[in-house]
Formats: sequence, structure tokens, C-alpha cells
Amino acid sequence: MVEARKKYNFLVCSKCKGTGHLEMVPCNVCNGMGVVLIFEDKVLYWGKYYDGVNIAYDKITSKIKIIVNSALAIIGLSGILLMAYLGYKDNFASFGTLEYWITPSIEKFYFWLTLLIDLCLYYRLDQEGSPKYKVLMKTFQKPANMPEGSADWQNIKQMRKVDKVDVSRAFTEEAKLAIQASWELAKHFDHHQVHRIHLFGVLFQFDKSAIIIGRLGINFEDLKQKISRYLSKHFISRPGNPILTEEMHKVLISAYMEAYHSNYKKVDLPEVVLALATPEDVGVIKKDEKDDVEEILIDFDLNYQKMKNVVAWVRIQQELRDNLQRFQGRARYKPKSGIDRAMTAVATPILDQFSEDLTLKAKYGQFFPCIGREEEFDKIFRIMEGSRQGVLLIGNQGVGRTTILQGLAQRMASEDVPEILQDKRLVSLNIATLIAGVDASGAEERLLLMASEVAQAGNIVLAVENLHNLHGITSGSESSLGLAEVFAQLASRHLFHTLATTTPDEYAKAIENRTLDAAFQRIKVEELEMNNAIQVLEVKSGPIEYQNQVYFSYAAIEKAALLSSRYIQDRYLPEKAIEILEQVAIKVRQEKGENQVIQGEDVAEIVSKLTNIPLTQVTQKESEKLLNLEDKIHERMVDQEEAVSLVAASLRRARAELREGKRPIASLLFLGPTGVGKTELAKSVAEVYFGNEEAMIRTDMSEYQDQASIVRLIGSGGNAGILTEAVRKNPFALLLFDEIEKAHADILNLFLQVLDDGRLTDAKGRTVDFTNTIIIMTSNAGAQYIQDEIKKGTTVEDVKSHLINEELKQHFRPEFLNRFDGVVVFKPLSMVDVIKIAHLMIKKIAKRLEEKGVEFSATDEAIAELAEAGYDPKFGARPLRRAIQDRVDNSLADHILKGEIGRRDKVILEVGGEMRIEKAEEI
Amino acid sequence: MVKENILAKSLKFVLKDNLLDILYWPVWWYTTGLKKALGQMKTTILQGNNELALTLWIKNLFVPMFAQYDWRGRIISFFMRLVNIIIRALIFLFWIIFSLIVFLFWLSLPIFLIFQVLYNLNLFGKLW
Repeated sequence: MVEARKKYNFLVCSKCKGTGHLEMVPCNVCNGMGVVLIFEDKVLYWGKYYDGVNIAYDKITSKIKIIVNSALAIIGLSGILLMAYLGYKDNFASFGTLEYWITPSIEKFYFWLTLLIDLCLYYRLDQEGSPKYKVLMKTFQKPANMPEGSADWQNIKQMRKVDKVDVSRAFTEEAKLAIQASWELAKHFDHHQVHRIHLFGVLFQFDKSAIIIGRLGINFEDLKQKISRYLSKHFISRPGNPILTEEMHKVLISAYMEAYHSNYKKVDLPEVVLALATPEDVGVIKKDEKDDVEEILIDFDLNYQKMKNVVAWVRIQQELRDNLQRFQGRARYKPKSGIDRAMTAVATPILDQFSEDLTLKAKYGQFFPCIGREEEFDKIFRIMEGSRQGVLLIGNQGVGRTTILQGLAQRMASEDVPEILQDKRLVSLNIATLIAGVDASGAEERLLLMASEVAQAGNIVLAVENLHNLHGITSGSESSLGLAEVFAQLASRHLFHTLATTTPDEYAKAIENRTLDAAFQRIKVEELEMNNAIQVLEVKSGPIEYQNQVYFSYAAIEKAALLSSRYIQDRYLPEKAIEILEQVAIKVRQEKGENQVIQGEDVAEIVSKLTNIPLTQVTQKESEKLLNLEDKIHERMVDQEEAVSLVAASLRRARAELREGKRPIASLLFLGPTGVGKTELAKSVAEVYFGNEEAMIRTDMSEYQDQASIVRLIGSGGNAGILTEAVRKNPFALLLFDEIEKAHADILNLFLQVLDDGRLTDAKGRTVDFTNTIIIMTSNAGAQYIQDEIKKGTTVEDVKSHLINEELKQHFRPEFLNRFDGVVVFKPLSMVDVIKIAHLMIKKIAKRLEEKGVEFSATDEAIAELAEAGYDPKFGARPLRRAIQDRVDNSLADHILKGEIGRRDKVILEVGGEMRIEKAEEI
Repeated sequence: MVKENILAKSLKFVLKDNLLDILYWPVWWYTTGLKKALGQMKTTILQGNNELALTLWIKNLFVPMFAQYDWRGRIISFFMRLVNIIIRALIFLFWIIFSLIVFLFWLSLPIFLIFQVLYNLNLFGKLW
């Protein structure tokens, strides 16, 4: 793929500043080369000069070439036609006689002459593909480098002509046209130099580079406008003939080098784009220089890296096409029947009933290429070459075990395997058909018969997908052998090669430490790493695009891999990302129609829907909501300004993606006496941010007072933990831990990791991601102290610092307290607060009654009375709830049951708990 | 080359790239073209071997066919394979001869054509 190249060693002419020309005349120092790259014993330069005359000249000469060639073709053909005509006239009678051919004649002279001309035409056409017009072949014997000191223009002038390579000759027609177009763009704007940005600005006009620009998700019209604005703003118009600048020369030469390193015959546009995207690596731009192309890219929320990745993508697809051709050529020799080419094998009728021939399927091109699994193939080959032991691939669902089998089948079909596997076939046993319709002993019999066939045939590698499915199939009585044991015995006799797959879970359950285990060597198939996963997606995107008539941008592919790896648990790359792509493609086609480019945002939307995590860009409506978060929360929370603003700020940080990715969205410790709104605030956050008061995982830590209770949180053995399982299933939630001071100290230690790294490993060894949770812990520790001090009039700040430094030390270790984003002290409620709360509670009752069609309100005096009755500094707002229940709810219930309150009635609560009912007018 | 002016360039194009080119091709035919023809012959022969699996059959001469490992099977197989190899070798021989003929055709084609042109101009009189 795209490797980093070491910096190139350019020699730039100081007289013409690398442009090769001074006032339209070739520079006499560098002979018009401007910039050369000294490469081994050659110098490379860009030899094409653009001006109006030269462009016209090119057009004319290429036309003349076509005319000359067509003339030759016509003349060449005319002789044959003439002969055909003459033969037709006398019914080909004379053609058959020797006499005719040995008698000299003018028409035969013409005929043979035209055949000579045909040979000449053949030569001319062949010349167009001559090495002169191709990229140099990569040699593995390195020629001597040019001596260091000799790299000056005088020496270069004296060099042999063959050692001076004009790279422009190796460019494809399309690439040359693109460079010409960039010159024309400069001319159009009256710029006297052609810069990289001119070249960048014309890329979308040419198919092969337009794909790259399109995949980057850039809208052509936008790009066109931005480029022309940028060009007219940042470059001074000065009429004259535009010349290629030093950096353009360097870009073009490094594009050539790119093709050289990739062993391409021609330099095409993807290489040019790649050279544009690597300005620093190839020494095109100095570190502190302003980079026009980058500015434009940044404006589109892109960068050079993404551009390079897209080039890699385009190249992968090209290579796939090339490989397919090569594969088809080589797989042609694979026999269609089960017999090998050497005819040593025998037919396997029983096996054929219960299996499918993967090599045969591969031969007919039914599989996708397998990417990024070289290491696994090496391991498989090593084991198979070393012994006849079976190979067991252990990997999770979706990591690509089946794809590895298919990849192996492909390599076997094209005989790209070690000798021991050559001229063999990979046959996959189908367990379902094996056991269908018979009992266990019948299946065992089938298995034994098949095994003897396989052993006799000798050209079969037996593949068993989901080996664990053999487990547990027995004929019933305790002492009888199960299917798994029978297979284990067969496999351990090493009569043939076996290749099986299973998942880690099933391996632990059904295979580990049993007879099957001993017969196999294990290979762990890990989840693909991000870059390989992206490459797989790039490969697999083709058919999805074709089916749905849409196109993926690079951002969509990248987002699918990134987001699914981060937010979709329990599934594995690349499968889960492929599914996302499929869903997005269908959705985009349904909503926007065909021929649309799928952007990263579309993918984010789908993942958001699947996970309920907001991943899309913040919309106007949402940003308003976020900016007014405090007001939103205060609709159901009274006072506690500090706590509310702290929470709101951390939520905003999280949504604007400014937080560190590796910690929970927010982790807060709420301190304060009971009933002051700690839980209420947590609920408000859940409602405002997660859309639902219930999107909360609530754990009462008083249930976890002993050390043994850790296992309930994180699980043990086969059991999942309460906490880890809840977060795994719902990674985007608010975690509320009540009365944290009551938990055992070891449990608090467990939380250190969660708060710091945002992850926790459960008993099954799975890592659970906490980075999308908001963690709120509440504690009553020091409540008495808070009450006393606030009553004395100490400021909250002082109370807090004393609490953390003194009071809390009895309960928590300092490093635990340090891990929180914020420790919030909740003030005891004042009378004023309680009145406000009473208002809120009455509102809630009114809302409930509204559903019954009854209007309910309370006079201020009545509310004050309620607050008075429900106010207890020790218990916060809790007694208030009881008071309201006793005085309001109960009395309302009585009235409703008695039938005194009907629809459209007005009920007003008055002092003394009196309910005044205003009956509505009858209709 | 950049240093050439447009006039020199045009002159070169007309004379060298077009007029001389037409006369230059026989030289190419027996140098670069010859190398190409040889390479083509080699690939054709290798492909023939691949099609016929000749080397594979020779390698497996003593391996019984269809997994008949008893002594009768071995004897029959050996002779079967021998016959097979002989037939395949014959076909392969024809194959090689064919590609050689194609190569010789390449070699002689220009000479033959030139001869025919001159002959039909009646330069040699009637030879037969």
C-alpha cells in the first residue's frame, strides 16, 4: 500500500528557481530542466514545457500520428482486399495453382508490399509501448550511486542521454492532460506560475482522480467555487506564459517515483494525487511554508492522510481486478472433479453428500479475497507442513474465520500454497446434513465411512466449521462414544489434514481439555486491526455499492469501522462494520435515491440509532438544548446551582467531543444530606441527556458491603456481573451509585480503574467500555457536618475543602476522591427552596389531574403552609412529599371517589387543606 | 527535450519519427522484436507443459492411480501412467514444434516478403 518514502534528494537550479525557464526561454544553467532528482545513476526531470504553441504542437503531432498509422493500415489492408477481389472474380481457380504464385505479376507485387507495410505498422504500434515511454523497471541489483559531489548542473549536462530520464514520457495520456489542464487553469486566471493548487483544482475533471475526490466526499461544484475564490484571492494576476514552479516539478517527479516503487509501467493520476498529498515526505514543501492544497482540504474537514487512504483504496480495487485476472488464469488448471491432476485420488461419493468443495467454489470465483491474514496463513502452513496435526482456528463470530477458509481455498485453487497442499482440495464438512435424519450412531457410521474415503483419497483437506457442534451428540447411554470423540479419534490418527473453526466461548465449553483438544493445534484468530478492517471494508464496499447504486465516501468507510468498533459491543470487525455499511446503503437509497455519495454523517446516524448514542454532528436544535441545559434541569430541580452547572458543563464538553476519549463522560461525587436533590439531579440528567429518566443504571451500594459482593458486580466463572452486563448491553447510560461510603473498600478500588481508564474487565475476560457513561456517586458521609457548617454560615467552598481534606478521609482514600471530575456539595434546603419544591410538586399533581380533565392549582398561602409542614432540615425535601401525600393526594382521592370532581372542574387548594371546587358550566 | 525550439522539434517529428521510422522497422524486427518472439515461444512451451501436466505425471510415475495401493494396482498404474506419459510427451513435442515453427515464421517473414516483392518485380526472371 502507501508506504512512507524517504525524502528525495532534489537538485534545484538556483538561476531559474526550479522553473526551468526565464522569460519563456529555457534556463541556460539547467538546460530547462529546473529540478532534477538524482536517483542511483540516473537523473530524472520533467521535460514537458507548456505554452500555447507547444500545446497546439502536441495536438497536431498526435493527430498526424493517427493519420499516418491509419494510412498505413488502409494501404496494408488494400493489398489483401485486392487479392480477395481478384480471387473472387475467377472463383479462386487460379489461386490453387502453383503456376499463379511463381509467375511474377504486378498485383502480387502490390500484395506482398502491403504485407510489408503491415509489419511496419505492427512495429509502430508496438513502439508506443516501448520502454522509452514506461517507468523504469525496479532493479534489485542496485547500480552505483552517483558520487556525492558530482551532482551539479555541469556534470548533468555531460551525462549520457540515456541516463537523463524525462519522466513526462511515462505519464499516461490522461495524467498528461491533467497537467495541461492545470496549466490552462493558471492561464485562465492570468497567473504566471502553475502551482500545486492549480493541479489540485483540475483533478475532478478526470475520471481516475475524480473517483478519489468523490470518495473523499467533496462536492465537485463546491470544490470548483472554493478553488476559484482561493485562486483569485491569493495569487496575483500577471499576464504571460505560466511556467511550472519548482514544487510542481517535484510533485511530478515524485509521482514518477511512486509508480517506480509500486512497479507500475505508467504514471497515472492516482500517483499524481499521492504525490500531491505527501508534500513534506518528498521534500516538496518546506516545513514553514503555507500549503494551499492543505488549506482547501482542511476547509473540507479533510487532511492529507485521508487523501492517501483513498488513493490506497482506489489502488486496492485496481489490484483486485488485476489479481482476479491472474487468479482466473492460474485456477484454470484446477480439476473440476474431485480427482487431482496426478490422478492419485479416488472418488468420494459419501463425503460429497455431506460436504461442499471449497476449492471448486473458489475456482469459479465465488469468494471474496481474504485480506490482512498473512500471519494466520503462515501459521496454518507451518503446522500442516510440520505434521498432520489438525488446525483449530479459534475466533469470535464475525472476525473472519470462514473468510480464512475461503482464502485458503482460493490459494489452493491457484496452487499458491506449500507443496504439501498442492493439487489438493479443501472440503468443508457440513455437520447439519451429517446428523440429519439419523441418530447418533448413524451419524457416527457416516463419519467413519467418510473418514475412510478421505484417508484413501489422500488429496483432501477436511474443513469443519464450528467444530463444537459435534459435541454432545451421543447415542444415549453413558459409556457410549459421542460424535466428538469419534471425530477426535479420527483426527488424532493423522490420516489426513483437518482444519476446524470454533469460537472462544464454545472452545471453553465443548472442546477444551477433552479428547478433541489434543488432536488439534490452536491458532487464535484475532479481530482485524483498524487499518486492515478498513481495507476489508473497501474491498467489500464494491458489491454493496453496486446493489444499491450508491457510493461510499472514505469518511463513511472509516466511520463505519471506527464507530462500530467503539460502540457496538459483542460483535466483531469486520462483520459488524459491513452490516452497518449495508444498512446505510439501503437507507440512503430509500431516502435520497440512487447515485448518492454516502457520507460519514449517514453512517453516524445509523450507528446512533442502533446504540442510542448521539454520534451525529450537533444540530441547531440540539445545540440550543445543550446551551440551555441549566434551565432545562432547573425545570425539575431547585437551587443547587453549583452542582447543576458542573453537570451541564461536562455534558456540553462531552457532546462537543472535547473530552478525553478514554474516561467516562463525567464522573461526579455528590455529597450532602438526604433529600436535598442528589438523586433528583441524576434523574434530570438522564432525562435531559439520555432522553429518558429510566436510562439509568442504579446500584445501591449498601448491598455491597462485603468483599465477596465484588463477584456480583463483575461476575464470576460463567456468570455475568450485574454492573458489567448492564453497561455492556447499554453502554450509553447514567450510572448512579447510591451511598457509596457503605461499599467495601475493594469495590471502591475497582472503581479507580473505571474512573480513570473508562473500562473494566469482567470475569469472562471481556473488557467493558465505560467511556460513554456518566458516573454519579452519592454519599451521605459528612452530611451532619455539612448541615452544621451551613447553618453556622460557612461558605460552601470552605465546607467542601474541609470535607475532602478531613471528613471524607475516614471513608475514602485520597486517590479515589482525586479521580472524580467534580465533588459537589449539596446544600441543605432552606425554607425558600422547600417552597419552590412544593410548587414543583403541586405542578406535578396538576399535570396528572390534567389527564382527567381537571384543572388543579394551589394558592401561595396553601403552598407555604405545606412547605412549613414538610420542612425538616435533617431530611430535606422528603417529609414534604409525605405532607403533600397526606394533605393533598388523600383529600383529592376522596373527592374524586365521592364524585364531587368531574371533568372540566377547577380545583383550588386553599389554606388548611381546604379544596375549593369550581364546577364547570354544564353543556 | 525542453531546449529544442519548436521548429527543430517539428523537423525531427516529420523526418525521424515518421519518415525514417518506416525504414527502421526491419532493424527492430531482428533485435528487440526477436527477443520478444523468443520470450513468447518460451511462455507458449511452458503453458503447454502446464496444460498437459507432463512433469506432474512423470513425478508420479510410481504412485498408483486412484489410490490402488495393492501390487496389482501398482503394476497396472505404472503401465497406465507410462502410456499416458508417452502420449502426453508426444503431444508436447508437437506443441514445441508448433511454437518453433511460429518462431521461424517470425524470422523468415520479412525476408520472404521482400523476396516476393522483388520477385514479382521480375528482377530474377522466372525462377521456376
